Amino acid sequence: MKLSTHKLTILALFTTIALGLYWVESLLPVPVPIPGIKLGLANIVTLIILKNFSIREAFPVLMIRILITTFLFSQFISMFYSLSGGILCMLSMHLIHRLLKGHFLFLTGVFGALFHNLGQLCVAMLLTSSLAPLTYLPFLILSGIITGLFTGLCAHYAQKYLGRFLHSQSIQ
Amino acid sequence: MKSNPRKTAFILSVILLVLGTFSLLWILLYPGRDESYTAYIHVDGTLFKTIPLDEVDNPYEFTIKTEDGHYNTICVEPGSIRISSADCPDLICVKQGIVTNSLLPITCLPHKLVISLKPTDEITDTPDAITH
Repeated sequence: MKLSTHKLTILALFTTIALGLYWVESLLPVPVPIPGIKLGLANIVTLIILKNFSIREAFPVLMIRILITTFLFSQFISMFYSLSGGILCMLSMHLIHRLLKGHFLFLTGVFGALFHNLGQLCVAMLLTSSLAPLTYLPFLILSGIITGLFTGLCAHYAQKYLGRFLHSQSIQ
Repeated sequence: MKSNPRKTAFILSVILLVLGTFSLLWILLYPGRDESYTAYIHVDGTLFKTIPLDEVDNPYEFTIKTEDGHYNTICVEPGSIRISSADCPDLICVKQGIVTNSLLPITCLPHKLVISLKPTDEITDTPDAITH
């Protein structure tokens, strides 16, 4: 992958935006007492990179974001949750995005959120070595659909403005 | 792939709708039986303690310490159980409050602690009847 300075700058900017969104989200109280439920604002950035570039650009941005947020905000153990959720989310979004040929970005977002929750659930089952976390599945599916739709639509509408901006700068 | 994105989007939406409906029905129609429950406290995957909640007469508290010095204080009352205090960062386990049925376990992921309730009569090991 040939990385032009221009593209590097854009991707670094997106990483920073993702970090900022993650921080803002950490300030918002979560109204439900179920572990794993969150808005996932940072996924807006992943969606937009996926739409305008590809998984080869989106994946490194995601990894850097997870590393930095773990060091800044949380304990070491939460990195396993972030990694499993993030990677599964990334792969599913890549697949759905290709299936939809780049249209209906919000649907990609919903599936990303669902698989993010699924990945975290798997790690929770591994870490507690019990099937007890599985009872959260219906809650996590519902919350995934709702939050995924919200962040997906955010990305969808942001894309209307950002897309024009990004392409006017002649990025391939 | 020849299929057009509109059709794919439709199929994916239907999948989501079915998944969502099933989850919602599961949560709403979960049998809220007024049976007696037994609490199973698992720490790091191993069974730490079982408490038949209907046999509790007076409320009491006890504290579970993890290997690295953290704690969860569990409050047992007749028919219910809750985590009254803990030093985990998110305090999700404390915020969940009182649990009286098996719909949702109390989980403290940072301390790998799971409290799940199961109906007492479903898990007795004694046979219903023995024939010779």
